[in-house]
Amino acid sequence: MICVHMKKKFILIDDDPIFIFLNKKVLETTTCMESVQDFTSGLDALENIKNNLDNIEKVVILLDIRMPIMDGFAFIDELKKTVGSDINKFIIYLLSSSIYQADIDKAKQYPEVRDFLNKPLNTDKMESVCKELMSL
Amino acid sequence: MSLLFSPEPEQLEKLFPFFFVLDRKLQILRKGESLKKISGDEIYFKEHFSFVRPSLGIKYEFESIQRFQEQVFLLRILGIEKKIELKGQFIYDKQNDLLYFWGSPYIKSEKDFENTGLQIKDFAIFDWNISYLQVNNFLRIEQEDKEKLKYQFERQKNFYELLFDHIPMDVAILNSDLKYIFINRSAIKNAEIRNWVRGKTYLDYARYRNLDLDIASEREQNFRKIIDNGEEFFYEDTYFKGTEQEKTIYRNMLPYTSHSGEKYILAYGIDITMVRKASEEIFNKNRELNKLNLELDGLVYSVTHDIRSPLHAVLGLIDVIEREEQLNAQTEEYVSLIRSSISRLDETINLIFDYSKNARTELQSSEIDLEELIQKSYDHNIKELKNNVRLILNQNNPFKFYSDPQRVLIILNSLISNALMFSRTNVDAFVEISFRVDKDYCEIEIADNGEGIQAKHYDLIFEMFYRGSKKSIGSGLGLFICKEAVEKLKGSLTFTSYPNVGSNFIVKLPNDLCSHEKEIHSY
Repeated sequence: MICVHMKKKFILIDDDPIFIFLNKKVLETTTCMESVQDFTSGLDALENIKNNLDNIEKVVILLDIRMPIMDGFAFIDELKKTVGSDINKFIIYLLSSSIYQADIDKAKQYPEVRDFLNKPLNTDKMESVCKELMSL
Repeated sequence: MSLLFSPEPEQLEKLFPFFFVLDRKLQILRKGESLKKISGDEIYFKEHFSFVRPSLGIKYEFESIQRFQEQVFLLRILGIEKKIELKGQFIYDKQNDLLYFWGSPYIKSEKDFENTGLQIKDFAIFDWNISYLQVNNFLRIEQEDKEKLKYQFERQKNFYELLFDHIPMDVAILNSDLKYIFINRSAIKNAEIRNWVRGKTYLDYARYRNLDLDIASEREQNFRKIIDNGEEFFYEDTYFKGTEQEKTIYRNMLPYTSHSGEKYILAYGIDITMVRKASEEIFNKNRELNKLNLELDGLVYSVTHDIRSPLHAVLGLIDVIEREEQLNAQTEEYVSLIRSSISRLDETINLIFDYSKNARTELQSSEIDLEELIQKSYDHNIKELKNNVRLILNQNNPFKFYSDPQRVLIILNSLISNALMFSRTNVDAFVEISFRVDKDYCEIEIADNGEGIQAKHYDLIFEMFYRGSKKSIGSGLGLFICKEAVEKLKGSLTFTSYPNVGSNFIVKLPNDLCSHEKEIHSY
């Protein structure tokens, strides 16, 4: 059995509502999810995080890379500016339909990025993520 | 001459074959054999000869001639067509009261000699005429040789100057004083200026042409180095800069030392305008191409991503339907067909992306675990194609294999998916993959017992979009991209195949071991 306090809060950021819907469905079936919030733009997510920063203890962000206006990397840049040293409260997974070398190279400059995940998520993939999160 | 008196007249007559003897009546008593050949039979002197010299005070009388004994006489022979003169001296013979004329024809040139109709043997051996002729002849021949040589030299000089004038490049020769001694027509078109330049320096010419004197004097310093140190020197001249007629001349100056040790500069200039233009064009085209390539990369990235994204959304939704809805058998089949259709489309997009990746990205080699890569590719394809072809894996790899993993995966994916796709259902279908790595090559053999390839398709299976079988549910891109990737890795791809027996593909890829580790690793 997994202890309740090991469960994590999740934030989903994806401009495509179908993926929000699908990924939420998968998250609901996983064992390590305590709650999930979703945003269709990085700006909305940032706004929300800024307002609730004090209440955030540890949060897992599942972040789509390719989004209009503010892509995944730009979101991380802004997040760091906004939260400062609180950045270690955030565990970030990048989501993409296909994983390109150029994105992998770029991600190496971001120590906050934990890993890449292929879209759409499925239960198997999420369970291995859960295992990883619990070992943290 | 006085010495000649002691010998006998007979002996003297031999020495002077043109002699004659006169008595007091000026009758010719005797004459020499050679004189007989060029004169008539007249008896009296006056009928036979006229005085050319002396001409004043001389009379056709014995005493008168006797008085002029100390003089040289020139006597014109009369009664013949040719103009022949005898040159000689009269000597008085006291004993017999006779006058002897000792002399021979007056010959000033070879032509005169020929005119007499005489031969050399008609003259006395010592005769000064002959010596004169011989010396003259010698001088003439020498002169002729000189003329001939000079002519040949001139001809050669003209030939080379003409040649240099017609060579379609600038040629000039400067001496050790850095003065032009030759300049061809291509270098300076105007003949007047060309002549003027001879003996002038480059700086003189630059002044005349209003060229930049700083550059000119700097160049002349370099010319000096060519003479002093034997260094080669080159520079480029651009004329009509910025206009339609702009041209660039590449000038090369070479040191040259003649046989006699004199130093020269050989200068030549080639019009490299076209070369320059062509290389500029290539440079620009290249830049455009690179830009296009980058744009195409971006396009392929965007298109593949943007198409794949909604496809994956559809695949995700199909998952949800299958998991959450109670479907009847028919709907379940439809949903399954939708899934396989979407999966195939996704594979095609993947292949296009692979193609673009293979064509545009640099080779990046690293150590490859072939067993893992083959298993990964097999697992992926068996899941996509949903059949039960067995995998048999044989390996013999005492060496590590280094290559570009992305491209090796493209090759494996294409060959393995074909082996699975074209399997036969009425046999125990398998794909047998063997690989062997040595320090130079990695050889991968992918054999199946599938439906095989008919001979008529052999030449076509590597063509883009070619599909040779009804069973082919792919895009016709797989083997094409496989071949492209093999070529990119500088490897080779061969196959043998028999219908209803199976196919056997052999890929041979260079092992990039050396660039990674110098020593050879054995397990």
